[in-house]
Amino acid sequence: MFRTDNQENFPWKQVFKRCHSVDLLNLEKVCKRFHQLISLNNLFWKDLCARDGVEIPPNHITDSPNEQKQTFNYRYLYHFASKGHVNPYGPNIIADLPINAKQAEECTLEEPPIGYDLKKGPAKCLATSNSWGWRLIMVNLEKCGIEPWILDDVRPTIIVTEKHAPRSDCGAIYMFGAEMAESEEKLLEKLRFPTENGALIERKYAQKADEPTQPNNRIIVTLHEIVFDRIDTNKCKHGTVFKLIGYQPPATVKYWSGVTRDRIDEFKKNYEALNSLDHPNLIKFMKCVESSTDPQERFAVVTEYYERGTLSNCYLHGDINPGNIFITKDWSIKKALFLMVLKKNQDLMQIKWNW
Amino acid sequence: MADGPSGAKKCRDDDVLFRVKSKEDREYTLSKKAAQLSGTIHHYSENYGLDNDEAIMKMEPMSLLEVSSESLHHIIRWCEQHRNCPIWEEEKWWQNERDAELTKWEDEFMAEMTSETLYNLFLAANFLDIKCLLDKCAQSVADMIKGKSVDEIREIWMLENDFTPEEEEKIKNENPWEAILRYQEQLEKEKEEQASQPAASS
Repeated sequence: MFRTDNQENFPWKQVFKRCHSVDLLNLEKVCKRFHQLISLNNLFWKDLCARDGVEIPPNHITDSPNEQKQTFNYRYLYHFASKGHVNPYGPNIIADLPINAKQAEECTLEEPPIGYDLKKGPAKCLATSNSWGWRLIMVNLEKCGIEPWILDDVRPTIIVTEKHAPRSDCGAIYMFGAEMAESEEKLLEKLRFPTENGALIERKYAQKADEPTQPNNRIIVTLHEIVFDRIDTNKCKHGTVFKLIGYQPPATVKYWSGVTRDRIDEFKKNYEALNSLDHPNLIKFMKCVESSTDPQERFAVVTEYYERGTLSNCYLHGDINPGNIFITKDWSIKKALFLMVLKKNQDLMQIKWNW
Repeated sequence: MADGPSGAKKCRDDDVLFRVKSKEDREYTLSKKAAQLSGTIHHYSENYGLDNDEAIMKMEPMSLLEVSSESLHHIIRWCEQHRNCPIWEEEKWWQNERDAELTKWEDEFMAEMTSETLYNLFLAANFLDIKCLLDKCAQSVADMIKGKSVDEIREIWMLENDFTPEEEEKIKNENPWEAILRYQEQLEKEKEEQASQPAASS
């Protein structure tokens, strides 16, 4: 017989502090005494936090004076942070958030391209079309377990950081911004999205009408969007050239169109030699990038950017084709001539780009 | 239950024996080291100048008016078994080191208990302030209701529901996180689905 009802000094506290969090939810509904001992005993929950390794927020939050005389509710914190959930006051409220295609617009979820080193980064990527793509993550702090009065009265500093980035071998820039809003609806009203030329436009976050996506229009950037200005597109015979924004040193990317598989392979064989070329008067060759899904159509080369265009519209003529010479920002002259690149037991490079 | 002598037999001859008396006026003895596990006895010996062996040998039995003979018998068994244990850290009780062999012994010890003896032992351990035994008893009591519903808990511990229906309703609704925890579980599920998707598509 376990008759406990007539025993006033039964050490219930010792029992409760060894109970599982799920059982405690039931225990506080058993009788008035238990409710008193469990639910209304704030310090009891502080001990439980210590037991289960729940990180307690710093003193300026827990001891903050409050107009409504509210105290920090350890019980509230405990229930959010135990059971394997994330501590609302810990360092990562939304850590390990899955990349969710539903959250991204004008982006698709893709496997990374061939050659991508999985050890260096995540195994998933967001690919976008020629313009901006974006991803929207809403974090409802209340639903994460932060009491509303803390947000209103204590006003803790909220630091928002992002672990995603564009691939290291691509010149895309990834911008990240955070907005505070009272509610999810308010946030949606406030949202501004950037456009291709960088200006912010107001945009409602809603499902777009079905538009057939054009595969040719897609580029190969993983994880986030490539951002560029279109330059000199008319003068290119074999593809499209874009200036990369945010790439150091300044660079351009050229997307080849209509090249054959053989030619890409051949080019890649000579890639190493091209890459090692470092002469002040030759355009620095930086990267070649290939998409996993359709290499035929998605092959790109990143080179140094020539800020002041070619000489052809200036004053030089002779046996050097002016269209092959570029002037950089500091007015040094660069020659784009890859005909000279040779590799042992390889033929001459068969590329004649009209850079 | 003639365990006064047998408890004494376990101790080595050179041990100084502490004399205690149960509420049924039965006398028991336990070694000095084992006696020190009890905060109450420790306190008593400090107050009555029992700080040297000579004084202990001459002592009158200490009356434990709240402890029955049966409980005292179990407690002495426990204390003799634990007399060489490191000091129990109560503040962070979950960090105490637990010896595997001793834990096995403790489990067997607890398995012998009926719920009534456990109940009395728990109260006695609380009275005598024996931290490690209190921990084991409390854990055993807590395990009784593991995974049980509210009604089942009331039945196991023979407690009455003294809430009015209104109060009961209020308590049910006072946990704002229960809804939110469900929301978090849903997120968790989505995450899992997300993780399993690539496998399905490839």
